[in-house]
Parts: sequence; structure tokens; C-alpha cells
Amino acid sequence: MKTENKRQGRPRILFGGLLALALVLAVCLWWHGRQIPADFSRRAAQALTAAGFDSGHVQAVDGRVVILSGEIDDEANRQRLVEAVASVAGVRRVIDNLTIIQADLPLSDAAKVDNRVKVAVSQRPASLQVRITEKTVLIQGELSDRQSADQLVAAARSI
Amino acid sequence: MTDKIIISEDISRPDWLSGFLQLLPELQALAPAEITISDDSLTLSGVVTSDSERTAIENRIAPLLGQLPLINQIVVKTPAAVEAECRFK
Repeated sequence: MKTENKRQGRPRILFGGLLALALVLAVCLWWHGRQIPADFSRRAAQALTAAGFDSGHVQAVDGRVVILSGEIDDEANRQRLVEAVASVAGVRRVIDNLTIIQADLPLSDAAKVDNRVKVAVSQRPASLQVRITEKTVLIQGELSDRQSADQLVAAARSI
Repeated sequence: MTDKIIISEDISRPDWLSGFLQLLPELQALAPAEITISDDSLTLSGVVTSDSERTAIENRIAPLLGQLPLINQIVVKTPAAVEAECRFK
């Protein structure tokens, strides 16, 4: 009878042990899975800092995929930045959402002329009307500055 | 002397201003006269008594304006015509 009971109890013990093992394994995977993105994020940020970039370019980490974002000044630096993150051990893929911004370039002569034309077009031309009678002088119109107007009035007084 | 000049920053600085300042004394002989100037042209009107006087004023003023075209609307009225006009009025 005892032998029979032992035979029946073995599969139960085995099943219980396997269940406990599976449970421990699931907890480990869940716990470690949570740690992976944080770990990649930290290591990717370190790699960026070491390469001379801002660690804030790491936007997010999804599993072993690192997503980059932010602004970078040229294509060469963009490639260096992506390569620095891709070289981090365990990173499977890098999603590059970086934006290249153009630095202010010195204006060409054509651009300078264009700017002057735009300023000129935005301004109205000066105009004046002077009426002279035997006793009076009337000046009306529009000028750009008071000094020019004063010069004009002084000249008109001499008539 | 009545000054009704409006000063505004969105007005371009005129290239013709220095020439215009120099021509004002020339207008003494033309009174009554009216001058309108802008970036396009200068229009001059008034009354003189002879063609030669009209031409002389134009010749003195035109060099002061540089490239700015002068529209000469000065009217010639001989003393006899002026007298007749006065009588008609």
C-alpha cells in the first residue's frame, strides 16, 4: 500500500517542482527583461558621451532597439553618432530619427543683393510737393528722417 | 513757411534730396510755382514770361537731378497775354 502511494506521489512532486522552476524562470525573465532597456539606454548614452555627442540623443530603447532623435549639424556627425550607438554590445538595431540642421552660412554676394532688394521693395519711395507763392511756401510729403526734412525747410526759407 | 512733412521709417532715403535742396533757390524766379518730386521724376510747373526763361530754368535744374527725369510744365505767358487775361477776368 505504501509502495503504491509512493508511486502515485512521484509525478505530483515532479510536476510541482517543474511548476516552481517555470515560475522562477518566468520571474527571472520578466525581471531581467525590465532591466534590458534601461541598461542599453545607459550604455548608449555612455557611448555617445565618449564619442563627444550629447547623450540626450537617445530618445528611447525598445528591447534591443535604440531610437535616436534630436538635431545634428551635418551628415558626417550623424553617421558617427549612429555608429557609436550601434557599436554598443547587444544593440540589435538603431532607428535614426535625427534631423540635420544647417548652420548659418556666410551670405553670398547674390544673397546680399537679394536682401537689399527685399529691403528696398518693402520701403515706399520718398516724395515731396512744394508750392511756392509770393508770400508762402508749403512743403508736404514723406521723408525717411527728420534731418533731411530740416535741411529742406532751411533751404525753402531761403527762397 | 508751412512744413507738412511726414517722417516715416518705411520710406526709402531719396537719392535726389541733395540736388533738390540746391534747386530750390532757382525757383525764386518762377513764383508762383509747384514742384512734385519722387523716385520717378520731378515735375515743375509755374509761369514765366518767355521761352528763353523757361529753357534757362530747365537747363539750370536738370543737371542737379542726375538721372531723375524732369517734366517741365512751366507755362510761358507774355506780359501782354497776362494783361489781357487780367482784363478778361
